Amino acid sequence: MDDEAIIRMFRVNGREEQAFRLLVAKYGEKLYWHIRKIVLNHEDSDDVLQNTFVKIWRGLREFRNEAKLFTWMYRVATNEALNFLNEKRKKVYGNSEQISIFLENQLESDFYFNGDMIQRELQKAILQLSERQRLIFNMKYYDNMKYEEMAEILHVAVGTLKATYHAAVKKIETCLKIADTL
Amino acid sequence: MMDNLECQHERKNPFLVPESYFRGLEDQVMDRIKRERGAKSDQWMRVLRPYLNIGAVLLVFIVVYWIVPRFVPVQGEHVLENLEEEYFELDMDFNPTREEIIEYLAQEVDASDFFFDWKRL
Repeated sequence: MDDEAIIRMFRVNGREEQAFRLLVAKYGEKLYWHIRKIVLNHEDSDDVLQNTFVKIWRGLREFRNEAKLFTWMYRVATNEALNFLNEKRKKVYGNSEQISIFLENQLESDFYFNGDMIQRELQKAILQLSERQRLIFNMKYYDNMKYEEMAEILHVAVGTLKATYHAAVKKIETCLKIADTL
Repeated sequence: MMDNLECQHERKNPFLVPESYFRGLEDQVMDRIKRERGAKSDQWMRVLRPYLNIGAVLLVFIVVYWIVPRFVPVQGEHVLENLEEEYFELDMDFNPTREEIIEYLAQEVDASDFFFDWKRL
């Protein structure tokens, strides 16, 4: 069922739940993996994903088709994940450097991380990026999104996205080279 | 440089999820939404309850002190009406003598009776 049909169904009294279940089935996994790359831990990702869907439920009735539905949902998920990290930073850590140490520790102790040593080093290198660089890198590298889609979600110009991704890749390669020599 | 990164690490997803996580996701999300909606209506009641309580007290006050007296006459008024009727009823056969009048005026009278009579007038 296409997104417009789901939205129409959602606006019919008594059919909201049915429509929303279709939405969760269609996009839940994609949103989960996007969130997971940001917050890393499965339990936190699950929590953020549910918060995301609660917000989507509240906003869906008034959603106007000015942007694609998935673009809007992706943006909600991104904001929820970043807000989650900000809250964590405020509560536990004083600055962004320490949040990356926290995330590294999460990675080391995560039961649901199945990467080999190279994957682990790559994830650690990604954590050395700024939040913005990490977000753009994950969207391009793992989700294989087009720059135009990313521009719509993040409200950033395509040129800026390309430059940020380029800088992120360079930084990761530098980190991996250093890790190789150690 | 970007190709190098791709070749080396093959864009593998190193993260796992618990078994059947995505299969149960719809139910989990709907349960969460229902809990949030329930919590929201409870929240409204918690905010409104003190005002509802004050409103109920005011309503009782208004009923007891404003509305009820308009329909239930005070006992004193009946007595006053009766007294007024008694007071203005003339006995045509009553024709005291001069001695009877003097004897009446010489009686000791309670001051509060005059006050009460004055109020009736």
